[in-house]
Amino acid sequence: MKTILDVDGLSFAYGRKQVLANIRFSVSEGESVGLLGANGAGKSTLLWCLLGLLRGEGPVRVFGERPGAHAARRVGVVFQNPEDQLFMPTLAADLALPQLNRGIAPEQAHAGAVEALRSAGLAACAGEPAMHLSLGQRKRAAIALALIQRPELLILDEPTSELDGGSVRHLVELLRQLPMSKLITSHQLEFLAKVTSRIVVLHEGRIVAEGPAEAIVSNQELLLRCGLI
Amino acid sequence: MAAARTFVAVAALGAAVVALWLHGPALLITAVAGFAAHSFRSGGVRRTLRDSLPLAMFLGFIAVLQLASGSAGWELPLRALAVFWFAAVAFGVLPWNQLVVLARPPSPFFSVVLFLLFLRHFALVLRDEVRRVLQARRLCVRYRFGAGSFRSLVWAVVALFRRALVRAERFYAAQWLGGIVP
Repeated sequence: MKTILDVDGLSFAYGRKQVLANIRFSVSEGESVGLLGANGAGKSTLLWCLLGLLRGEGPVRVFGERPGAHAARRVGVVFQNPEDQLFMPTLAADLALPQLNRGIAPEQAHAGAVEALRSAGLAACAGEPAMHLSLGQRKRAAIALALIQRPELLILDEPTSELDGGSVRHLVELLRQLPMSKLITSHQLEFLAKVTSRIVVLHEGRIVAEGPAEAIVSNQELLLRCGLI
Repeated sequence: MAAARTFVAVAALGAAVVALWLHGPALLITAVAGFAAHSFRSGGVRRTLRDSLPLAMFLGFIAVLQLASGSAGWELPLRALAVFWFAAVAFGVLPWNQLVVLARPPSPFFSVVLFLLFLRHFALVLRDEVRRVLQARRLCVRYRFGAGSFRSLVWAVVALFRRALVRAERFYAAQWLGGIVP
């Protein structure tokens, strides 16, 4: 399978504080990879390096390119906080904006937005501002926003944070239906085991384990050492 | 209706801009007008006072720094409050839905609307962060005034600055990834 994300010895430091050290992993086409780590393990910093928002040392290739605005066009990102992405007066306007920005006609952009919301089960909320929705609905809207740009790689940062059981179940169902490659950061073991096939474990800025999702989440000694249970 | 709301919003924004250049009694009168407009819009003086509290706290902090450097004055805080009251009225009455439909890229009007939407959104995010921080403080501190209250308030403000920076960073990152900001 074609490799779409390749990290080969990435290191990053905030001043003198080393946050990431010699990170090596890859994501292949159509693969779902989990990035598991306790708070402060370096997951978010790693994501920001992959997106080109932070520049670390060591080669990173996204679709064969250096991370940056060009490569980011093929990547959909769902932030931990949906409010970071949804700010327009209506959800439909939020989803239409990236399309309008790419020069798509307003009517077509609006129709695309409504269709994307329908797929996420939010058709009835198209005219509502994101702030009026529940957190679970906002998370689904943020995913719909990422998907409307037809990404080949979907990156989700802590998608289950603050969600109740029902919302997590909906999210699992939605993510399982998506065919593109996915990189999902979380510290929820059960969730990652359901939506990913492979897990990379990050601890204190280093990769300490990598393997099939079920093997990783059943390795109690590893999880205990990394502060995950 | 939308035209009337736009007119009121533009007038309020204009007053906010004018307040930046006023001094002395003219500034005082403008600030009183801003306070009245905000109270009318928000449904009461008490609501206006409550909404202005975080800004007033911040301005108080600035005033202390000014006092320490021997250059304290009453115009800067009053001007800031007047701008806040008028801007809050403007942002509250603007017909956002219609504006978004009317403004399309690549028109320069779209950039203006988008900038105003960014401001409005971030103000709402900050409002929520302030509420969260003050609620957390209320739960942790036994007395609103007295032992530990000042120190906890200082730490609450520090936490708020940190959270504001993180949220601003993430919001910018999200817009950059969406190709909306350079």
